[in-house]
Amino acid sequence: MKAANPFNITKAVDYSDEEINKFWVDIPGGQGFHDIVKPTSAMPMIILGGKGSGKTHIMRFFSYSLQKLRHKESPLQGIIEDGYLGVYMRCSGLNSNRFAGKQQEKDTWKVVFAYYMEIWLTQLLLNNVKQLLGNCSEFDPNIEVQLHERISNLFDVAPPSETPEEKTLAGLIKFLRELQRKVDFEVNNCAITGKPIKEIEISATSGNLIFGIPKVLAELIPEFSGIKFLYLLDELENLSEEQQKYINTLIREKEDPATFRIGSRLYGMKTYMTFSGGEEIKNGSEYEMYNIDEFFREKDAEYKEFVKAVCLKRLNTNGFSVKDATALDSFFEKPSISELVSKRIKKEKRHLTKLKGKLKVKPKEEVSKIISDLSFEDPLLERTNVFIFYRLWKKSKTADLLQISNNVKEDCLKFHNTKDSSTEHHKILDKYKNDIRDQLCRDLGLPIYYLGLDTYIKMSCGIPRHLLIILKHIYRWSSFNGEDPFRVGNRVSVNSQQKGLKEATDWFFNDARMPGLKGNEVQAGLIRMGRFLQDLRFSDQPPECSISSFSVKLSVMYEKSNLILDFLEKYSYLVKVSERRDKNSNRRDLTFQVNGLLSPIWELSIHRRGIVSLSEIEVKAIFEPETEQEFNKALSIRKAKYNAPFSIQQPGLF
Amino acid sequence: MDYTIFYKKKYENHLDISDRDYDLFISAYNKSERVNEVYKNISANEKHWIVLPEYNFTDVEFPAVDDGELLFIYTNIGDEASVVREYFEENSEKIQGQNICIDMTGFLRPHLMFLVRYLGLMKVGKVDFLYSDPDSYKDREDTTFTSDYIEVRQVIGCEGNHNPETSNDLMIIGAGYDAQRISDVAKNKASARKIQLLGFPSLRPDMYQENILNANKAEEEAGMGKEDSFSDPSTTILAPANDPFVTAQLLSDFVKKENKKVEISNLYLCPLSTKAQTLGFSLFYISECIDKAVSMIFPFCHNYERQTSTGISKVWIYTVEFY
Repeated sequence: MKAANPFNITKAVDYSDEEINKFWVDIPGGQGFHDIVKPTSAMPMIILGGKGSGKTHIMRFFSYSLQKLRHKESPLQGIIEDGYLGVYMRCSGLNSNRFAGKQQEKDTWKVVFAYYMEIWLTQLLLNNVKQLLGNCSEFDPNIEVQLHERISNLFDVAPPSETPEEKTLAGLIKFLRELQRKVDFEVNNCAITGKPIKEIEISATSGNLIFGIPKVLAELIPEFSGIKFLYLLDELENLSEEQQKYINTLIREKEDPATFRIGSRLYGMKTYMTFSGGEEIKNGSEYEMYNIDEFFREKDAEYKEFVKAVCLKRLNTNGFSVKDATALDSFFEKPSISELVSKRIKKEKRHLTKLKGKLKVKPKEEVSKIISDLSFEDPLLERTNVFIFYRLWKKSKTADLLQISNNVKEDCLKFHNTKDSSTEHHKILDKYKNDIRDQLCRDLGLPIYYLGLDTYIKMSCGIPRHLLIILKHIYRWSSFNGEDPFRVGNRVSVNSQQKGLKEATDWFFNDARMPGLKGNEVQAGLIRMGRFLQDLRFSDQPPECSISSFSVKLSVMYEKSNLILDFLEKYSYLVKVSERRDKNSNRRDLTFQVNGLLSPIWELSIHRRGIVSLSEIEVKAIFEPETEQEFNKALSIRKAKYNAPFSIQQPGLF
Repeated sequence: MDYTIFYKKKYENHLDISDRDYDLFISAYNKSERVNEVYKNISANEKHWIVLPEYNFTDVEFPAVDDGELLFIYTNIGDEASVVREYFEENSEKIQGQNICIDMTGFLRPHLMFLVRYLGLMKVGKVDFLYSDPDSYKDREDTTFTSDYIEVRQVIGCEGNHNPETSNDLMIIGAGYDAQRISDVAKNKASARKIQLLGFPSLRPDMYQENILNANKAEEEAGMGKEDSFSDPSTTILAPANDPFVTAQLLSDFVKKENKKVEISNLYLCPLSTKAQTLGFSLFYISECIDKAVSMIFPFCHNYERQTSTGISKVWIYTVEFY
């Protein structure tokens, strides 16, 4: 029977609680994610990460649903050992968009939303506590009555408690559900009737339940003393700016033993403002910030080890038998450049044809001699000859091209025979080998090859889901092509790798769109940026090696470009490499790398070595041109510098 | 409730609909041949065009109207409720107890969903809904329907009483040609288990394949990490593309079956397929889902194409009773 694709599930939400536990892989070193999330710390934390960074996976791991799975024998003892009880909530479940508009006052929504959150979160907390009490025989049977009494006092309008059934946690939950139903009815119906909301009675003051109930629990249940009640609010990006102000206010006003861990996409934090005197919450004193993407990108080796462990676990739990993570890369076919180009090179050498075209003003004999000097049996060395020839042509003041080609020929022979490190060929190949290889492929009409697990890990730019999506598509193609992937002795073909990667790239390019009209402008800017870098990378004499990054020095006057670059970064299209702010000129010096998963679209390098420096005029032409012609003009001016005959075109010439 | 007992009638030739006679005919204006041909040929004492702001028509593009016709222009891009409510409030005396036909072909889906909810609340009695099949979509599976996506939100009037517990959330997507929008809704309720309702039999034989091609493009978000999810009955419902009543029945049966296994914590319904299926989703909603943890949701956009199809194939009349 055909094995199931071990990489099919790429998002935590598609895993059940049991599967989250089963497939859990921690980061290497110390106590892993526990050291980062610090669930027993009273300090709230905002966990930021791009889509697929693993936020939900991490936050669910600390939820009560998973705590009880980890401590099946004695959930209570487990909670005591853990030192926290995780209350997990998805903000998307609130359907928060309905708490806006509908011809209602902004202040009405502020009050209604805060009240609704209070009821919602409290239900989740009490559900967890009810389950925990129900699973443990250690508790005093009268504890629920006592809890009911104390919690009822936290309401402004007390819950009914006439029957014994009502004096339980189930009774309180039922009461909260009824309060919620009343709010839902009013909120949902005001748009149908077009009339203002009037009938909602606020039965609990904001914060009284969210912070009050944990206090009551800690006071009445000795086992809970010293336990943190950890509200894990995931998918904060689903809340509006006004709604986030309320969450920020809760963070500011939090009361022990309750605390928060907030999960959000990079673009998800719309504000840090609170309703407390219009102030922002302060990083370091009121909350901690943790950016998963940055962490993984900074810790390259740990990230590699972590994602390889994820792959290994996926494979082995799906019936494969891969003993060692170091063996994973061997499952991918990685032919040498000579093997890749061997068939095509006999047909046409476009790099030589192209060079001939550039030399057409020279006498025929001279051209033939140059071409003969640069021709070589090894395709990579031949392409290197052409590369060095262009390089010396650009540098040369006399442009004695015959002399140059002769020098290149001699240097090539010396390098070929001795591998002498003082040769120009050695130096150039040391720095530009990947670029020359890719130029050769392009000249031969071949695709640019991105092959092997290590390459895909690099391309994933610290986002585990990107790697899983690449592997999912590659596995599919490999399986479809009958290669029986990830079995000893089998290798995933170049064809399957290229096709799978293309599907992953297409998905990311189309997926990370920003909503609204601005989304189109942002995407158009990215496409122009990609084209700009691509044309420079494949110019006769690229300004930098391994082009995939660019730097800008951007003054505040380019407001739109600043905004677009911010969006591109927040949607993970671009990875910010560095940022410096010049206080005197209020200028930002920024360096970005195009996300590795997008590299195939523009045939860019996945490495970050050379950085293309963009002028403000170029930035404007790329991100906020008035016409497409403005961009084409900026690109032409730049390209003229790097393409033979290397004349610098003046703006007025075209 | 048995939805399949409702009356429906098929016209092979759209010119044959002139045999029907209504007090009032309501249609949402757009440039499609099928919308305009039906409006021209149907017989009614009064005909009303509703011009929805989302189509972005300018004054010079508005259709001309004769005696016995009304042009209801709503220029404020607000929400689906405002335009429908205002139209019906202004024309209430022409509606109650009258013989009405509403051509839903040109309506945008959220407006249609709200309209059904509103008619249900108003208890307007018997209403005929008309839907005309296209010969084909303009650029087949590559047809653009919407652009400039704004947000996914609940459709007004179809917002449920939801459950904070989200461990068994379910979303049923009426998967149409607009793959990007399928992806958008699937992402919005990422934690919900996704079920795709596909139009089968489709409006035309080739449309099923085109439908699958598009639904497959949204697989990363809507596919639930399964290979061949379209052939798996646990993740796919097949419902006739032009039958709202069977669609409603299949939805009802599926939800009951799922609830028997493990109770659904929250249910989200998102019809992105034909208007006939959208009507089916709406009928199921107003009949079985109000005040439950069930919502209709939709991916709202700035732009909706005014002409997405060519030609006119069959015309259907579906009779719904709102009592």
